[in-house]
Amino acid sequence: MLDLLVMGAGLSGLSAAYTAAQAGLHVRVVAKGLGSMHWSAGTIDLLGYLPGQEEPVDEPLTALTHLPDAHPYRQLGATRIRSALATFQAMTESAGLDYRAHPQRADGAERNWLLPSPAGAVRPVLLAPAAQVAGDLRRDEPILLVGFEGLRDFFPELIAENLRRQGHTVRTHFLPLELITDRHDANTVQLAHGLEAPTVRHGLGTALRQVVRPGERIGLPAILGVEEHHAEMAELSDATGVPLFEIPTLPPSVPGVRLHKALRAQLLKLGVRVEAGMEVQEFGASGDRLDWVATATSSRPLKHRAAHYLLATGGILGGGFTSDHTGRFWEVALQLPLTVPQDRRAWFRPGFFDPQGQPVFNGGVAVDDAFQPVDGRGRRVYANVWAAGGLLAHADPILERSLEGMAIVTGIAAAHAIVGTEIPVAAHS
Amino acid sequence: MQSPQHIRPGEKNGATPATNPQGATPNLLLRDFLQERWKGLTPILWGQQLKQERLDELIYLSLMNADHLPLDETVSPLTEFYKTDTTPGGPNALQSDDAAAQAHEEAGHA
Repeated sequence: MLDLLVMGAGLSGLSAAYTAAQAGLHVRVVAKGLGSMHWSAGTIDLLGYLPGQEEPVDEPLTALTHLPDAHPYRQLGATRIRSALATFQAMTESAGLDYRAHPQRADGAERNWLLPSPAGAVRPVLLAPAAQVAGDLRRDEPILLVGFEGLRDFFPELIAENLRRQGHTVRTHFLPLELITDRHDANTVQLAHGLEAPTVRHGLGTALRQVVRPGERIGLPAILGVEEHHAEMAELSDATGVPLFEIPTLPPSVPGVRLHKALRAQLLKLGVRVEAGMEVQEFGASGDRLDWVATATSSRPLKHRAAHYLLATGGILGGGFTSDHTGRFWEVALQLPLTVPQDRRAWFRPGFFDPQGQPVFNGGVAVDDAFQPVDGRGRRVYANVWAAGGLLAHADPILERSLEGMAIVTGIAAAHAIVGTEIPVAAHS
Repeated sequence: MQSPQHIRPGEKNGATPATNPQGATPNLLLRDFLQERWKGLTPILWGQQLKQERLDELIYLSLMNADHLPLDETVSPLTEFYKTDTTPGGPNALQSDDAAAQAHEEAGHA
């Protein structure tokens, strides 16, 4: 029998599986798909905006106290969040991925990076892939934005125009797509694989050296390799002699693919199987305990029995919730109670960009201090079920720009609650 | 789908010309496009379509941060809408929640 069955293979489920497996538990991950990492920027956003406020958050761990009381971050507190993030950094580092924090203030407060978005807005990010940090908009070197003619998912002119309007010095240059591939339908992931060939990489370095001026930094679409990413960044830096950075593209996201691959590889080393295409179809419970869940396979449903179950199916975005035209709104795997109003008229506000967000996205699975789902009266639904990530109630991770942070810290916190240990308090680096 | 403000006198079917008469910036046009699409989508948002809408939010808000693009002082037909306070419970709130239910009930009893 398993010690822990994790349902959901997004950032939250994988972070939790890693933490529990490291503590010696026998863990399996089953999922319908593979999470939303492939659509995101590959950054770790802890808290970018407070509800209703226009200005980005500068010190996200200090700003936590301004979140509503019921927010999962408030349950955890800054100390446990900090150490969960340290666990994440250690996990990605041992997988060969370098995630960096902004240099702290003199008083030790962590700051958000301010990185250019694929539309030229400013993204507040706590941990950035090393390849993105030279794009920080607090730096003042002029930017040379390099695009590729015919690449559909990256628009240097739009980014440059918006950055200029925000006071930055930016110029653009286009290189032929033929430098990387002869195909005109290549997406960003295919281009990233194309750039792993040494001759192609060398050709890009030569082309960049010819257009860059001394004192500039070069911004490129995030396509600089997958497996060979770090070597590629180093080689292009050497070839040009200036700082280089990636800007995330529209999906598919190469930085997200790198992160997903790294986490899968780490779990494989710990002997954890991650199975996609296995959505939960049925479950059996007796009293206050979940006995088994059955998932889809290519043939008949497969029963999994475990001592503990973690639900990390990601809410609306991940397919963990669904709804119908009558306003019925439900959790699909275990039929857990949700805080979402069962009335469609209460789901939306008239403005798409409403700074308070849409009420329907703020609802979800309510949990207690140990991340165990509770009902409307605050009583635990099952004694052996935990929940983490995008499905949690009282937060809107996309509105708050806290999607990855919420996934990682609640996943790791739930795993610690299952193992029965405190999150280790990391040395403050 | 267009809001009534977009329909200008003398224009066939209210279609806006390909050029941009207000001199609005791409950021403003993107914001207004997303708002008009939101208006058209909300009546049919549930199930898979709601999931798709959340993916749109992931791309436009989380990835592109399109709600924090510089807008300068340019105006568009939706500028007044954005100045309106639509806080739930406020004077200009969407006819939703209890208000709509009450209006519906009153209509039924009349």
